[in-house]
Amino acid sequence: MKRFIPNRVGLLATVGIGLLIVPFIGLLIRTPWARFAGDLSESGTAVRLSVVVSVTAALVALALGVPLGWALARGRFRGKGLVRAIVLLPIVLPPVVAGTALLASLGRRGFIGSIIDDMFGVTFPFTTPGAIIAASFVALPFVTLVAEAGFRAVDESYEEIAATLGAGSWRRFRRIALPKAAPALAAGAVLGWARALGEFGATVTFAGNLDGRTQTLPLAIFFELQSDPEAAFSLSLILVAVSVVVLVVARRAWVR
Amino acid sequence: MLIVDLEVRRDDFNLRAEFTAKDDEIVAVVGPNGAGKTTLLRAIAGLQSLSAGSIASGAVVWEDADRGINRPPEERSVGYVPQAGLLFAHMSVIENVAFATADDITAARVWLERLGLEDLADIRPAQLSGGQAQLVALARALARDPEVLLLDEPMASVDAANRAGVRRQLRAQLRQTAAVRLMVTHDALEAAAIADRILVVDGGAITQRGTIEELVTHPRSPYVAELVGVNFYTGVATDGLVVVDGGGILHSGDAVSGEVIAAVHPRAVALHLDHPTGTPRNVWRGRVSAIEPSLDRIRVTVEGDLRVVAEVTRAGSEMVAEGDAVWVSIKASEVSAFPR
Repeated sequence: MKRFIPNRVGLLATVGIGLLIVPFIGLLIRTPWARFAGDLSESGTAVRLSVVVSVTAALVALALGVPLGWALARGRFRGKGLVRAIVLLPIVLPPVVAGTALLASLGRRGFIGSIIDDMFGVTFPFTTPGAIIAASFVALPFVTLVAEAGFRAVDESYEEIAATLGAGSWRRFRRIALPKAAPALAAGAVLGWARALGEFGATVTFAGNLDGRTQTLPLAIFFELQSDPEAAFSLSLILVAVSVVVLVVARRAWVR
Repeated sequence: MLIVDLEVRRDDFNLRAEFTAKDDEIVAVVGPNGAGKTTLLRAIAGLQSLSAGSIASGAVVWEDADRGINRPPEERSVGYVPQAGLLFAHMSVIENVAFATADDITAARVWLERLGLEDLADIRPAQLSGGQAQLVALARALARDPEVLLLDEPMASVDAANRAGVRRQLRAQLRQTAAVRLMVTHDALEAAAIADRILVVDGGAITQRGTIEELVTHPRSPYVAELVGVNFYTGVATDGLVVVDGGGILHSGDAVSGEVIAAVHPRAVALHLDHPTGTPRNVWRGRVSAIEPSLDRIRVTVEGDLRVVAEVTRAGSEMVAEGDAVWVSIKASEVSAFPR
């Protein structure tokens, strides 16, 4: 049978792809190419901070998400469904709610934040660590889910053989499962990093908008938009470019 | 010495096995697919928990379901060569072997040299042939210096052209190894070539144990008879005269009575175009129903009072065709009859 797309379906599909593409065309048109380089250097602080925050958050998410993904893939414990639901929550949760919840728990008067404040005199709001916590919170689910899928794809019989060769559980994990899942873990880290880089809502709610401390690129864009929209377009274009690169690099790991 | 008395119960499958294997013998575990051979090896290796019973190597109890003892695989002195080899693809050959020597590369090299594989040390498993991969998997299992060595169909992934060479290597290595050696196979030839003793596992239980000669002369089930390629009958005997179930009579030189199994090697079955002369006690007329070439001889199936397979030379087979009437003769001394 000849395959064809019904007219109505085709029309809606075209509108759909248009909705995804049109904003970028608009962005390209409005980007002030003449002052692009100048905008970039003026925002150097935000760019540097974004790099620090997003990379650190991705590493934190990797360090926690890999064990969590392993537990979900291989662990046998009660309440696994609940754990998976909790892992998914930050993906569906409005970021502003995530930020509010972080404030309520890790803020200066939060039930953990107040203890940390009392013991170490450290508070997270309006600090770079606060921005990192917010970014890690939203990045963790992506790393965890991709890691879980990666570990699931590892044939357990290799770990069984490793056990018969005298390897204990840690050696089996480190020498067999981890290398075999490495491509998936790398993809998860890249995805988590991209999510951390774009994080806005939770950061601005929990860590605030403090130049040089918590004002990452997305925050800078948002506040430039109110004072100097042209600069906001330049900065946005950078994030679009970064996202496209991430997509191209990570695609190989996801699409097989 | 490996002392096994175990039971594994799963939703769809039960396995019961009781046997002892000594350090100086190679034991083949033979049986049809799905009989429980791999489950038996996995249970010994500690990859499959027992429902009941125990496994011990010498004085060390590896697992005892009643006493709640269950050592994990890494705490059993075991070497396991799985069917597919399962070399670690992200490590070189020498790294694979060194995985079993706590990353002692020098010790790993000694094992590779022992198997004549030192030239392959630095290549990746993906570049190995099936036979080479299997030998590397063997070197890796041996490198742990195990008390019990388990091999699951070691020749299954070796292509036919290399099979003889790999089998010779495997046999030589197994002969030199001081350990309990247990090899799963469904190939009687492989079992005969390598093992001292055979355990037949069928339907989740050990149905027969003995040397290959014992299996050939005294097959206890149609499966074993088929495996070693002999004619198999059941019947009731009176002093060596066997009335075969389903019709027909066989004279045996064995003076047994009662319910018996009678086995006849196909090479002991002679075919004639005319009524045979001489003294064979078993003579009947039948019709050729199938002619099946094997390597150097031809297997001819003859339907008559009894269905029998004869192995004849190629020259002999040219005298008959499917559908021809022939005379069958078997000496009574070639009919092995023994109580069921």
